[in-house]
Amino acid sequence: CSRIHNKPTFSQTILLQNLYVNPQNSAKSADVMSNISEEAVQEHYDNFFEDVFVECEDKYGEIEEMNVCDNLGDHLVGNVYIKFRREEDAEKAVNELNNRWFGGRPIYAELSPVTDFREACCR
Amino acid sequence: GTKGRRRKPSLYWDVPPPGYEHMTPTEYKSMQGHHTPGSITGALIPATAARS
Repeated sequence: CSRIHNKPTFSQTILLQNLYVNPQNSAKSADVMSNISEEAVQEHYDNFFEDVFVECEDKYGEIEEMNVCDNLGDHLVGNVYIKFRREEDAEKAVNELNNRWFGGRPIYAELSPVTDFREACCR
Repeated sequence: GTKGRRRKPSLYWDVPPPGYEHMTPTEYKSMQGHHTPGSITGALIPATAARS
């Protein structure tokens, strides 16, 4: 992957970089990984997913699809892709999310060229 | 208005990093530069820390 991705001017889909922090990934560095059960990780993920989905749909508009990258690729990990029904909503969401905090970190939001998540693959 | 969809208040939204509550996220990002988010939140370990 060249990591040089085209950034579209208009898109229904937005990318929130590294928004999801998997407790297992962050625990590795702290060397307490064995203390975190699968169930706890799943619950953490579910809560995160719902939190983001509900907030974005309430504030910015109807969401068609949302995906969270849970792989360990360093530049993909924790990336959240949200596909809105309307391009205007996506644009508004990017503009406003870039000036919000999330879990003690600033949000890095941008429009994404991904429209079909089954076709999406970082080559 | 309240839609009543939330089961509980968010743990994440609009939570600034400790010590940066007075900044906007935009100001914070321009200060940090755009390196990988997440790599900047850990506490720095002083290089001169005594090892024994």
